[in-house]
Amino acid sequence: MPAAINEALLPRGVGRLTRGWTIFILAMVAISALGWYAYIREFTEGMAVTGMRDVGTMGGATWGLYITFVVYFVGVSFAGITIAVVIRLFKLDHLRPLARMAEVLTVVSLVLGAIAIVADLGQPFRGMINLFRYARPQSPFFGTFTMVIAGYLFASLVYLWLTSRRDAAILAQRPSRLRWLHRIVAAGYADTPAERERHSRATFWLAISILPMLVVAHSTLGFVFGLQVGRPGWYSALQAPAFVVLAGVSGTGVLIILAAIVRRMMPRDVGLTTQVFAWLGRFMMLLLFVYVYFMVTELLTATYAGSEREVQVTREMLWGEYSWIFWSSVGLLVTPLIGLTVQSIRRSWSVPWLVASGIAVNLGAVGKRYLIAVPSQTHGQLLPYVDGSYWPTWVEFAVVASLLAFGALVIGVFMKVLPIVELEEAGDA
Amino acid sequence: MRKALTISMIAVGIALMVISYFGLTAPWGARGVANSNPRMQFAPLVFVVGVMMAFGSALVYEMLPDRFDRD
Amino acid sequence: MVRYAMAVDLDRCQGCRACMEACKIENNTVQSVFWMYVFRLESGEYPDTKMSFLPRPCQHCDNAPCVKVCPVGARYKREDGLVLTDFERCIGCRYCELACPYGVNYFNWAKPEKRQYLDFGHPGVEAVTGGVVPPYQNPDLAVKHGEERRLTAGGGHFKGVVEKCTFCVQRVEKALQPACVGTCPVGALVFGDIEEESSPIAGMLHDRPYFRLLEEAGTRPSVLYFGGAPPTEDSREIETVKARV
Repeated sequence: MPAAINEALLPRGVGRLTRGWTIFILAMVAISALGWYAYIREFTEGMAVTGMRDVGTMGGATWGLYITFVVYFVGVSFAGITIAVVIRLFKLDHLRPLARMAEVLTVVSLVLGAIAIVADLGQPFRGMINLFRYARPQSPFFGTFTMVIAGYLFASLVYLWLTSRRDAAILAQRPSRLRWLHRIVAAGYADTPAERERHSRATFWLAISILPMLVVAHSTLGFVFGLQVGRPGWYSALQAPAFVVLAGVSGTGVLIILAAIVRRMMPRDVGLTTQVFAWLGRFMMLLLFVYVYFMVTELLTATYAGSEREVQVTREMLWGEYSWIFWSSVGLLVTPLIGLTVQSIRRSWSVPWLVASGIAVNLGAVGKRYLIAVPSQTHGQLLPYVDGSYWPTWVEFAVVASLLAFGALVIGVFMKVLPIVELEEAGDA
Repeated sequence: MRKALTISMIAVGIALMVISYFGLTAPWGARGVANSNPRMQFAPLVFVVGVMMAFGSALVYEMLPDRFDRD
Repeated sequence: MVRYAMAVDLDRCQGCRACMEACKIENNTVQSVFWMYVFRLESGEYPDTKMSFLPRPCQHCDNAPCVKVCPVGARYKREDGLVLTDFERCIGCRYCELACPYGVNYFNWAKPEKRQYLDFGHPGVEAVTGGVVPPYQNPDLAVKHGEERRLTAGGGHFKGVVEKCTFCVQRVEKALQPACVGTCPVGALVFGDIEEESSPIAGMLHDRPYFRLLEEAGTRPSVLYFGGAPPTEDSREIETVKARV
């Protein structure tokens, strides 16, 4: 009985700091600290500690691993809130256990994207002030800065808060060390019909208005690349749509991984059934089909005809210096697609396979983002400069690793503070 | 009261966004130095505040205490 | 209305790169930064190879992609045609560098040092001069220029900002020629106001055919190339630039 009472105190493992969890958090803190050290080196000594250098005479790439992960993180955030909103709008109740972790994933991922942008600025403090002071809407970057970072992050936070209030109110009824926090998050929620009606309406309208802003925001990130006529390989109308689709793929992949971990951690069944994973798998499969279609279209166009420089960039990607990244990314995207199709046809889904697919598509997505950014810089000069080279240094790897660790840390802490899976209607009260 | 406050927050938020985007940031179609300077400094902050107001209205709608529900 | 442009006579250019040297001295740029750069190109297959030289300053485009993309308006185009960078406002995002089809931008990756002329704060200088003769610092590089009063002249001011050829704005405002133009021993570089009928550059415009680099990019550059021919797909540099920060 004592064990049952302990567990009944706060559901979903909230407040229960297990040894495994503590070790995990400490490891994440350690990696984050390493990244901080690396960034301090970058801040004091200048960005020369990275592998980035000027394009042109210096034969480098001026945007490298950082921008790869800016795009990656913003991309992952896309899937989270989209799935949460889709669940809400189409009343997919069997998927409700996913909703909160999807929202948390979006918020955390966007914050990581924002930090990654700041890490890539030569003058970060000045950047943070001058962007709010002088930002020009004529620059494609304006959309990323205002809509993505300020708008969509705030909207997702609002959505997360509003949908967490009920669970926080339930938790606040029980004595615990976190009661003060639960009371704040609950913000006076009373489970009356009127309140529920209001909540339903508010979240409905919020969901409807977030979706178009998401597509616009992600497209502006694509435009940052796609509008540059001077960069062979970038200048393409497909950049924006391809960004959005690959964002959905990678985000769904991370959500699968997260859901599998949560399912493992929960003391009992919280509704994360194989059917839920199957839905995610099917969603990811559809998006992957669209993305492979975009990839094939781009490749056909690039190899059939193109200016000499475009052809050269494509050649480097297919057979040259970047071919190993290209082909492994393609493999990491296509193999899961085949696996997902087979599972879909046979209607038998395996969660371990889905998790492996999730990991694979994310690695593939990082590779593709890298391939968008770098080859056009080192091999895509329109004037006859000598080809360049770029390889990230330990500083860039450390900063990126610390961002990933920080994200994992925040999600890990969130899980112990608020329920990562919504409490059911009848209540774990 | 609740509905009025919510709708006015959305309206003001959108108004701030439109005014700052088209009127206060770097002028559209301007040539020369004017294209690089906002008409009002911190206009992008106004834009962001407008976005936040529009979405923050949901918070107000849900969380305004019941005693304001007189109408 | 003044409209500055530069003419490059490729029939005269001999690839001596004195213009690159003069630019570095005038603007105090750091190692491996070449605001003015001269390509030494070869094309064709041995024994039918041809050599050519292509000076490449910033093109000060009328439809400059770098101006369009700058998120904070640090990169801007003046009415007199110059495209300048306000190094006080620049946040170092390097978007201009990526948008430029000509590759003329340089980012200060580290604390600027190893300049062409003199590292003023370098301890070794004291040993040579004994502190008696203070090294010459061009005072014009630290003042605000133009009606817009912005800090745009010179390079290597501090790390974390982007810089590029300014057509020597500090000299142009004193009715002098840019350093590269003034130095060229064979008069391959001509600078002036193309709206002014009597200027040498306007004369060249009317007398001789010219081309501009990467016209198909739609940037409308202000650097006009006379004689010679645009680089072809076959053109390749004879030697690589070894310097990196």
